[in-house]
Amino acid sequence: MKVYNLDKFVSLPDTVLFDMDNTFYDYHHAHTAALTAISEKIATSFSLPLTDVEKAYAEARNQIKEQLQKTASSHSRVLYFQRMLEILGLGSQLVHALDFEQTYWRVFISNIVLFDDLKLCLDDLRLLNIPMVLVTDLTAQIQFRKMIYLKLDQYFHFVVTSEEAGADKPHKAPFQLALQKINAKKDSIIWMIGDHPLSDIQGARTALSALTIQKKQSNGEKGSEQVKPDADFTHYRELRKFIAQLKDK
Amino acid sequence: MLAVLRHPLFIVGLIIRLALIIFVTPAPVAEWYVPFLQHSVTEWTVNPWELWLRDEGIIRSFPYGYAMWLYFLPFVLCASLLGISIVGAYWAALLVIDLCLMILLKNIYKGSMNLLFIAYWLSPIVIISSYLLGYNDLVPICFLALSLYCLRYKLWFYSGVALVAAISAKLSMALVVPFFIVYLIRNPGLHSIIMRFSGGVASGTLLLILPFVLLPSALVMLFSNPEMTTALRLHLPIGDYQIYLVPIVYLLMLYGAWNVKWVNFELFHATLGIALLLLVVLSPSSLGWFLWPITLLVGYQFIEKRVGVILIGLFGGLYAIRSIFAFFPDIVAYFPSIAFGSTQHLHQYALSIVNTTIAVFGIILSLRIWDIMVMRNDFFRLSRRPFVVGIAGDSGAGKDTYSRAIENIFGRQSITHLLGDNYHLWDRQKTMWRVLTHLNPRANNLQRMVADLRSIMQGKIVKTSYYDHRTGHMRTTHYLKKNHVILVNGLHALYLPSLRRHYDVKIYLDMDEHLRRYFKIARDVHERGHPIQKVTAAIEKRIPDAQNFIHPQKQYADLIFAIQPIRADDFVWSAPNSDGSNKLYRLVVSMRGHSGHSDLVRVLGGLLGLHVEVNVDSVFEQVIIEGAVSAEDIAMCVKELCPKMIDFLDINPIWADGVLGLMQLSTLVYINQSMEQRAL
Repeated sequence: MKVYNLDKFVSLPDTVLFDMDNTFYDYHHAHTAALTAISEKIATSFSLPLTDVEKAYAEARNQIKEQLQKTASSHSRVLYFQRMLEILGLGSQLVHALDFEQTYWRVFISNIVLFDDLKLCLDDLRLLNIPMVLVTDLTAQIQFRKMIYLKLDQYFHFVVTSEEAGADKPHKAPFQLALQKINAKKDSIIWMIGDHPLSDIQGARTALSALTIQKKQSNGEKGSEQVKPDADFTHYRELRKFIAQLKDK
Repeated sequence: MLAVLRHPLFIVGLIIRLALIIFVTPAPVAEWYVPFLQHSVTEWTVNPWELWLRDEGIIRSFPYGYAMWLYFLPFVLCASLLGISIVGAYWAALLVIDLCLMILLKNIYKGSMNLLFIAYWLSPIVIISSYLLGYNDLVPICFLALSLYCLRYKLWFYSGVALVAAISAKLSMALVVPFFIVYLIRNPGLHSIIMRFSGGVASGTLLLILPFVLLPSALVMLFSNPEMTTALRLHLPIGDYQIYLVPIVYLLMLYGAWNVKWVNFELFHATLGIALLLLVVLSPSSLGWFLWPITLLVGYQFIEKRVGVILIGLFGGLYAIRSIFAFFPDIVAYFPSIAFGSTQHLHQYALSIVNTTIAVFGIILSLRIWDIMVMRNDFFRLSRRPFVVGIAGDSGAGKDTYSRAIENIFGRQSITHLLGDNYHLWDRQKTMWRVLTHLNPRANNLQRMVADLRSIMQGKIVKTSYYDHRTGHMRTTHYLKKNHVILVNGLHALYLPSLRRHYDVKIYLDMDEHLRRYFKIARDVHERGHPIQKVTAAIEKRIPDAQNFIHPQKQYADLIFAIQPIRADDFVWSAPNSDGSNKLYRLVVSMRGHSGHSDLVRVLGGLLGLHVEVNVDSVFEQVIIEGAVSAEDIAMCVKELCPKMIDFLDINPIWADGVLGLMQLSTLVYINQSMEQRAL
C-alpha cells in the first residue's frame, strides 16, 4: 500500500465509504461473461452475426449514456437492449428487451468473484465498530441484488445509490446523502475507498474533504496529479495491514 | 500465463529439468528412442519399425505404437530439416508434453498453482523418471490425462480418441480400459453417451491401432519388450504351477470399482489410480511406470493438502533412492561389504530393502487414498443405499407432473416409480366405487404397497399391477426393481407409519383448492369431454374423504409445496385453459427443520431478482416465491446452491420453467441437506 499523505492518516476513521463495482470485484470479468451470454442468446434468437449484435449494443449504450448523461438510468441495461434492438431494425421488442436484461444481470451476478481478503477487511472494520456506507452508482434494485447475493448487506449500515441521490458520482449529492444518513459530525474522519479517480477520489474529496484511498486495478485508470488519492493499494491484505497499524498507534 | 511462467516454483522445476537435459543423457534416450526416431525420418515411411529392423536396429528400441511415434515426429522432422540435434528435439517434445500434462492436471483439479507446482512440477517421480532415467511414459500418461479431462468436461468422443491414443502410445495403458467400462456402466447418467464415447474409441482404433496391428515388424518389436511379462514376476509357486499376485490385486481393484455401485468421476479416477499405484509398487517394474498413477497422486495432494504432500513427498524420496540404484548400478561398491561378503550381495540386499519399503509404503498409501478419496467421498457415502422420496397430495394436486419433473432431472434410468394408483383394489367399473372413493384407504391395498417398497429396497424385482387410467383396468405386467432414487407417489404415500419410516424425504403437494378445481375441470371437461355437472359432483363427493384421509398427511411432510394463484381472476372455471400458460403463480415452500432459507433467499432474490419472503416458526421455514424464472435460471441456481447434487443428476437434466422449476430446485436443496445429514 502506498500512502502519499501519511500525515493525514493519524488515526482510524470514524466512517468508511465504499464504492462497489471494481472496488469489491472485477467488473470487467462479470460484464464480459454477461455480454457474451447475451450476445449468444440474441444471435441465436434472431439469427444475427455476433459481431453485429456487439456493435449494436456498443452503439446503443453510447446513445443512452449521451442522452441521459450522469444519471442512474444511464446505466439501465433494459434501455440499452431496447435501443440495441431498435438499432438492429427490430423495433422495441419489449419482451425480448426485458428477457435480455434479466439474463444479463443473472449471468453478471453469478460471475462476480469478490477480491481476496475483502470480507476479512470488512470484518476488521466491523469489529472496530467503524460504520460503513456503500456509495454506488447504478440503480438501487440491481445494486441491492448484488449485495444480497454476495452476502455484503450485513456489513453496511447504509447504502446510497445514484438512483436515490438523483445523480451519479462525482456529483456531491450521493456523498452528502451518505453523510446525512450516518449523521456524521463535521470534524469526523471519513475515508472513501473506491477505484475511480474522478468519481470516487475527486468526488469524495470535493464533497466531503474525505481521505481518499484508491483500489488499484491492473486495467483501471490511475489517478493523475489532480485526482491523486491520499493512498492506494492493490490487494486488500495491504489495507488490512494499514488499518492494523493505525489501530496500534 | 505470464504469472505462471514467472512463478519461482515453476522456474526451479524448469532449471532442474534443463540442468538434467544438459548434463545427463540417459541410456534409453541415447541408445533407443533417439536412434529410432532419427532413423524413422531417413526415408519417407509409414512403417518406421520395418525400416528399423531392416537396418538391424535394436529390437527393444521402440516397442510403442503410432501415437508415440507421431507425437515425436514433428519435433524430429523440424530438427532434421534445420540440422539441429535430434536429442534436443526429443527433449523439447518431452518438455512440451510435460507442460501439457501439468495444464491438464490444473484443469482437472482446479486447485492452487502453488500446490500444483509442488505436487507435479517438482515431483521427484516426474523429474527423475523422465529427465534422469529418460523414460517416455509422460506421453501415454498425458494422453490418459487428456482422456480424463475430456470425460470430466463432457467431451465424450474426444475422451474415447485420447484413451486409444494412450494405448497406442504404450500398450500397458490398456489396463485402464476396464475401469472406463465400469465407470460408464455404473453411472446411469452416462448411459446415453456411451455411443459417443465408443465412437471416439472406434475412430481412434481405426486410425492408430488397426494400421499398427497390420504391421508384423511393429508387432515383433512390441512383443519383444521384456516389460510385457513384468506383472507376472511376483508369484507364489504352488506345486507345478504359480499364482500370479499382481493380476489378482488388479482384478480385486476392478471388483472394488464395480462394487462402488454408483460411480462418479472422482470415484472412477480414485479407483483407477489406486489400481495403477498398486500395480506399480507390487511389480518389479520399470521405474518409468511410476508415472502411471501420477494423476491420482496429484489429485490426492489437492484433497489432503499438507498431509498428502508429505506422504507423496516421502514416496517420491523412496523412488529417488530406488532410482540411484538404476542410475548408478555400482554405487554399492563405495560401501564396505563386511556383512554381505560381496558387492553383488550387498547390491541385492540394498535393492530388496528399498523395493520392499516402496511396496509397503505404496500399499499403505493406497489404503489411505482409498479411505480419503473413496470412503470419505460425499458421493460414495450418499449413494450407498437408494434415496426414497414419498410424495402425497390430493387428486389433481400435481403429483404426477411433479414426479415427472423429478424424473427429468435425475434421468429415467436412475428412478423407480412406485405408484399409489396401482394399489387401488378394484377396476374403475366395479360397483364398490359407488360407496367408497379412491381417497379412502380401505379402497387401496396399502399393506401390499409397503411390502413392495421393502422388497424393492432389498434389491428384489417386484411384479405389480398397473392401473391403466385410459381403460380403468388393472393390468399385471409391471416390474419394478431397486434404483438410485425411488419415488413413491400416491394419494396415501404418507398415510401409514410403516411407509413413512422408509422415506428419506416426505413431500406433500398442497395445491390451492381454487386452482386444483380449475385444472381438474379443465382436464376432465375440456379435454376428456365429461359434463361439468358430473365433474363438479365428483369433486364435491370426494371432499369429506380428502379432509379425513388426504389433508392430514400434510403434518408428516418434510417439504410442502403450495401453489397459489396470484390473481384468482386468471382461473375462471367456465373458461379454463389446462396448460395454465401466461398465468401468474406463487409458490410457497415449507421446509421442516431446514436451515437453508438464507441461501435460497440470497440466490432467488439476489441472483434471479425474484420476490422472496420468509416466515420461520419452530417447525417449518416457509419461503414464498413470486416472479418469472426460466429453466436456465434454475440450472444456474442448482450449481450455486447444491453443486454436490449435480453428480447424482442426469448428464442432461431437463429443468422446467416457472413454478415447476422452482419445485425442482427446492427439492434438490432439501435432498442435498437430507443426504448430508444421512451421511453423518
